[in-house]
Amino acid sequence: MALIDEIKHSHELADASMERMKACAAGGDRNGFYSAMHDFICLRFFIADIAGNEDNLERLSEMGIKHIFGLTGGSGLGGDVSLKCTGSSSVKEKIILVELLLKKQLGAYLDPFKAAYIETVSELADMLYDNLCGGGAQTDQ
Amino acid sequence: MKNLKDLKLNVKPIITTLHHEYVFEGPCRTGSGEQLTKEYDLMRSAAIVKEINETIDKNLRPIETLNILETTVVDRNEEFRVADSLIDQLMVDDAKTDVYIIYLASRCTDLLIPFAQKSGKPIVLLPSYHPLQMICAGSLNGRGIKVNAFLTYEDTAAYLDVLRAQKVLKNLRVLCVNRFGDTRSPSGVDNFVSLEKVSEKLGVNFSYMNIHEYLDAMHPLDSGKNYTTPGKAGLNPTAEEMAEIEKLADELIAGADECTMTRDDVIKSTICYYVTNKMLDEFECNGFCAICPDACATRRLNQERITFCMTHSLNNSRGVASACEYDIPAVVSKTILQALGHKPSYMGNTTMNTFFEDASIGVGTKHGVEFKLDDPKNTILTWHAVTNNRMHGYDAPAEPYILHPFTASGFGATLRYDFTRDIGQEVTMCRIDPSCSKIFVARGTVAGCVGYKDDSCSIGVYVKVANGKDFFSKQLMFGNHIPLVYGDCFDKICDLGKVLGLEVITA
Repeated sequence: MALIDEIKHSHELADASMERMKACAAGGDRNGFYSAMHDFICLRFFIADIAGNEDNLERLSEMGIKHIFGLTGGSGLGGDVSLKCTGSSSVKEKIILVELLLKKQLGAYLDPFKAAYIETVSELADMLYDNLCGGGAQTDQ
Repeated sequence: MKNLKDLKLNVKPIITTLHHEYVFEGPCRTGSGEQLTKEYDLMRSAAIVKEINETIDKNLRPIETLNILETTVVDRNEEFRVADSLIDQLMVDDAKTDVYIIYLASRCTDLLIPFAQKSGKPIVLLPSYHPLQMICAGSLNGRGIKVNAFLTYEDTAAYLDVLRAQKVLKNLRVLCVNRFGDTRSPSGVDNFVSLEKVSEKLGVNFSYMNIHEYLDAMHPLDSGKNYTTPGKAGLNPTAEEMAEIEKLADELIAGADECTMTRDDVIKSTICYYVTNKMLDEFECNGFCAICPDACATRRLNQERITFCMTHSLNNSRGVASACEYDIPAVVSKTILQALGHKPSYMGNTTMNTFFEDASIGVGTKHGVEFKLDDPKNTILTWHAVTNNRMHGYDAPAEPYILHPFTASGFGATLRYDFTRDIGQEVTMCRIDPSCSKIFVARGTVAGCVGYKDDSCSIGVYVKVANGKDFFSKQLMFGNHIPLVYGDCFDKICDLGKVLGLEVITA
């Protein structure tokens, strides 16, 4: 399978994980919600086969960048100088994008300044799960 | 009295960020999908703010001499408006801020220019690879607004220490006990020519006291009976204070490896220290100097059985710069050394070791230790009986000392420290010149001690310098006493000299 098709397939599997997350949120299954979210992130980062139980978002994001560069013949992070006019790193941008995706697809609220302090998938899962399932959940819809 | 060793620099962090209201690509932004949304920009900015705050917490907040204020984040959109409301946000803590540290996560120099012009406080840009740093530094410096930036947080912290030393000088008020005028003392004519200029250039202030009023106050229980201020309440020790003074004198005697003085004479010198500090409090001063030979010439020191030596030693050991012979440049220089070395300093006559290349003894050695120097031509000697036993730090364990009288007749306590304990120790020296336009900065290592058990001013430290002849020729522009502190703060003093607008002369 060509790399682009593999990535598309991975995204399809991520969509399935998203449905599992919604089901877990509706059914009050916090552990299941976390597990599905971990799968979702690893599939979006294209590292489902190598991520293992890694919970740290920055490590997962960096792993994703290195993996893609490795698969495309790049030399690790050498191809990603993280030089952006905005002053943020590619690792951080990748995390923000996946957080935005989760927030939108789940229909949850994520405070930008609180989100900045999330370091792990567990913390992110807790914040979103509480927002979806907790009483008086804040939304920005 | 505000002890300058406890003075903190108030540092205000500012982070500027940018968000885009509209989704578009162009020469200043690229991306796709979510990356072009306002939501994404806000999350990215929040991530940067978190990262910079953590970096500040790790690298600057633990430094005890810095008081890091709450970070202010100023966010703009792509309209790049320069609005008073944004400048007000930047100025929110201006009254309590000494220096701004700014991280630029957006193009905002156009906003910082009016802010910096309004504030007038120094700005340090935090380390960043971003070209915005140079744009900001260049544009502000070009407008006469002092902005600095460094490649590392370590260098940033060092510079903040320099700015703190500048603040320390602005908070220094020296109590000058004199007889013949505010800058003239027969033994210290290498004093500042104009104290007004010192105040203008360095921000240092001065209070003055007449030597006779000062000495009158040394008489216990005699407030109201002082000859020079008849009927007026003086700062003479009360009965309760005498109990404290005697206790302190007993502690000093008990703590000494050797004491060759009577208890009464140690108490007299302790009164001098205690009353001097009452005066420092009364005059709200935190630096001290007093005339010496011109006080001696009145015969009153002989009559009172005191010298000022131990007062200087004890003052310095607790962070109050205190210098012999009405040497105000030495007080200011010691203040600089203590601010940047973060340790007590020492001062004395600084002379080249030109006469005794073999035994290298330049002053009396009645009880001295013959000391062979490795490199006599490149060794200087700094000597006065005002050593202290906290040279390694205000909070470092107290080092051994002896108490000896200055005089052959047994009065004038001197606290003597044996510098041979510290051979090889790095030291930094400095002195401001009489015109207050230059600062001399030098470094060296402790090479020996002289006069440890001698009388009078004879105790001193040998310091090996890079080039004795060079040191000597440059010292000619500055004067006699070259104070020193343990440790290497050479670069910081050079930087402070530049900040103060002084010509920096190094050896």
